[in-house]
Amino acid sequence: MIDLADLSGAFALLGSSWTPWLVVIPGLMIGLIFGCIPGLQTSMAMAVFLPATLTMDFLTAMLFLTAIFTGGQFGGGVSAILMNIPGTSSAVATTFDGYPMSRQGRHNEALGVALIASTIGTLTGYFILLVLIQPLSTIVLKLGPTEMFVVILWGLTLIATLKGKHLSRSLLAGVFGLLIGTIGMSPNGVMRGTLGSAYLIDGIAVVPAMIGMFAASELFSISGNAYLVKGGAAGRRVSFRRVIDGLKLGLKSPSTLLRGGIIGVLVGAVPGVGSSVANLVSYSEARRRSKDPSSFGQGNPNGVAASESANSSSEGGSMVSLFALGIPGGAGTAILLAAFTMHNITGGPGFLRDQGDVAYAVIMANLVQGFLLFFVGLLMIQLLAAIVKVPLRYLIPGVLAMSAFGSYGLTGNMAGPITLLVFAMFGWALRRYDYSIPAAVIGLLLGSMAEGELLRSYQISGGRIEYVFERPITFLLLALLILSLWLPRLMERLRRKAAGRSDAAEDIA
Amino acid sequence: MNSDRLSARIDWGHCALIAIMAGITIFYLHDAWEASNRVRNLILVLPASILALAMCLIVLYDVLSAALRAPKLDATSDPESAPAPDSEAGGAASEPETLLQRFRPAVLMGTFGLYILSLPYLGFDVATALFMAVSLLIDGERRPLFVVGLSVGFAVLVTIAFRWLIPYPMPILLL
Repeated sequence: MIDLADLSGAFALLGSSWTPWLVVIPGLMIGLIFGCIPGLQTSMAMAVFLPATLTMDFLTAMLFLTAIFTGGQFGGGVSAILMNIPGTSSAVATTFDGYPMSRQGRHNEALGVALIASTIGTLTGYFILLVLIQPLSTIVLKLGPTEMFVVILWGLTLIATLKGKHLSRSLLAGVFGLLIGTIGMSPNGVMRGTLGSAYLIDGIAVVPAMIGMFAASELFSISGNAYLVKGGAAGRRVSFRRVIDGLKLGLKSPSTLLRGGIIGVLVGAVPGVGSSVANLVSYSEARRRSKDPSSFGQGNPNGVAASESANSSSEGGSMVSLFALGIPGGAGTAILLAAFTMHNITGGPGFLRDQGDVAYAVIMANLVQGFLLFFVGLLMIQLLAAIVKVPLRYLIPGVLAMSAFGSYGLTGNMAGPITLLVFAMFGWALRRYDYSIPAAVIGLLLGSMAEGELLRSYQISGGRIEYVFERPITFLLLALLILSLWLPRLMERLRRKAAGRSDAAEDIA
Repeated sequence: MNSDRLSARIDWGHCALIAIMAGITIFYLHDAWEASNRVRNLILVLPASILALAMCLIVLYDVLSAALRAPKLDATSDPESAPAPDSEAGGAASEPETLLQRFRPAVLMGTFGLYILSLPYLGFDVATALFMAVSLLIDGERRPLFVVGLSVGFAVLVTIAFRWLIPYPMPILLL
C-alpha cells in the first residue's frame, strides 16, 4: 500500500534541510490565533498568508499552510469551548459539551481533552492517509451524490438524538433550520425565498448565522452574570495541572479518540461534505455508545474528545481528494490547491505518480506537526484560557463587536452582520423556550448540501428507489447508518433482558 | 373568569415564536411553489415544510395543554413541567431584581441591533467605540476615562487588525 521508494524519497526531502521545519511552529500559532478569534476562519488565515508562500519552495509552502490548517482546527475548538463559538463549522459538536464544561469551571480540563484529542486525531488522520492513500483515492473517485446524501443524512440524525427535554421542539428547530438553509438559488437554478434581496441569492450566510445562534444569543442570556465561569475566583484559575488532568481524562477513553480519528478521516475524505459532518457523526456515535447518553450536552468530556479527534483527523481525510484527484474538499484544501497552482504543480493522479515523494513528505511532516501541536497548544492554552478571567461586562460587548467584524469579513458586505443580528435574536428566542440550538444549526449547515445531493441522486437515478441497490457503497453506508441507529437500542434491550433475568434468578434463589 | 385565567397562563411569547416559524415556513413553501412546482425544486422543501408545520402544531398543542394543566400542577407544585414565564432570561428568579436586570438581555439586544444597523453610516470604527461605551455604561461602569479609553482603544485596535486581515473594503468613518 505504501510506495517504499517514494517513502524513502520523502525522508530524504525532509531530512535534507532545516528550512522547511522553521515555518511549522509559526504556522501552528497563526492557525491557533485565527481559529479562536470569532469570525476569523482557518481558511481566511491560509488565504492571508498564501502570498507569503510565493518565495518558499513547494514543500515549505505546503508545510506552512498545513500547519496553519492544523493549528486552526484546534483553535476553532478553543473558542467553541471558551465562548460557545465554533471557530469553524467543523467544531460545532465541540460546543455541545465543551462550553458547558467551561461554565462549570472545568475550562482547563476541557482544553486539555480538546488538545489531546486534536493531537491524536491529527496523528490518526495522517497515519491512515499515509497507509491508505491509494485505496482511499480509488474509493473517493467512486463516490456519487447518493453516497454523499447518506453521509449528510448521518449528520442529520444527530438532530433527533440531541432532543434535550422536548423531542418535538428540537425536531422543529432542526427541520426549520434545514428549510431556511435551502433559501436562495436552488441547485436547480430556481430562486426561492429571497424576498428579492441580492444578499440572499447565495442563501443565508451560514457561519454568521451560526455565530449568532450559538454565541451572541448565549451572551445575551448570560449578560447579568459577572464572569463566564460561575462561582469564585478559584474556579476561574488557569491551571497547568488541571490542563494535564484534562489530557489524562482524554486518554482514559482511547476508543473514543481512535473512533473519532477513523470516522474523521473516512467522512472527511468525502469532498465538500466531509469536515462539517465528521465531528457530528463522531459525536453522535460517542453519545449512542455511551452508558449515560443523557450526560452528553451537559459537559461530558467524551463529547469534546469525540468531536475534536474527528475534526482534526478530517484534515487528513480532506487531503485524499486533493492529492489523489486534485479536487478541493473544502475551503482549506482549496487554498492548498491554489498553492499547488502557484508552484506550477497539478494535483490529481499525476501528482501522486510523479511526485509521490513530495506527497509522502507532506503527510509525514504533518505527523510531526501533530506532536508539535501538542506542545504549542499546551503553551498557548495558558494564554487563551485567561479569557475566563475577563469580566463579562467587558467580554460581552467585545466579543459581540468582533463577531460583527468577522461576519463582515466572511461575506464582504452588510449581509454578514445583519445575518448575525437576526440569528442572534432568533437563537435567543429558541434558547428561551427550550429549543435545541445545535439542532437548528445542524439543519442550517446541512440543508443546502442535503438538497443538492438529493436532487442529483434523483436526477441520476431517474427517481427509481432501487437505484440504491445498484450502488454498493451507498447500500453499505445506509446499512451502517441504520445499524448505528438501531444497534444501541437492541443492546439496551438485551442488557435489560439480561438484568431482568438475573433479578428473576436472584428472586428464585 | 376561568378563560381569563387560562389566557394569562398561556405562554404567548412561545406561541408567537411558533407562529413566526410557521409563517416563514408557509411563505417559503408558497414562494418556492410559485417559482417552480416541479419535483426538482420541491424535492426537499415540500416534505421538510410539511414536517415543520406538523411539528409547529404538535408544539403548539404542548404549550396549550401545559397551560390547561397548570392549576393542577401549581397545587402539586411541580416546577418541572409548569410553563414558567422564563425567569432565567432576566437573571435568578429568587433574587429581587431591578427593572434593568430583568430586561438586560432585551436592552443588550436592542443596543447590538442599533450598532449593526448603524455600521454603514458610522463605519466600523466609530460605531464600535460607541457600542462599547454604551454597553459599559449600561453595565454600570462610571469611570469616564476608563470608558472612553477602553472603547476607543478596542475599536481602533480591532478595526486596524480586521482591515488588514479582511480582503474587502470596510465602511470606516475616521481611521
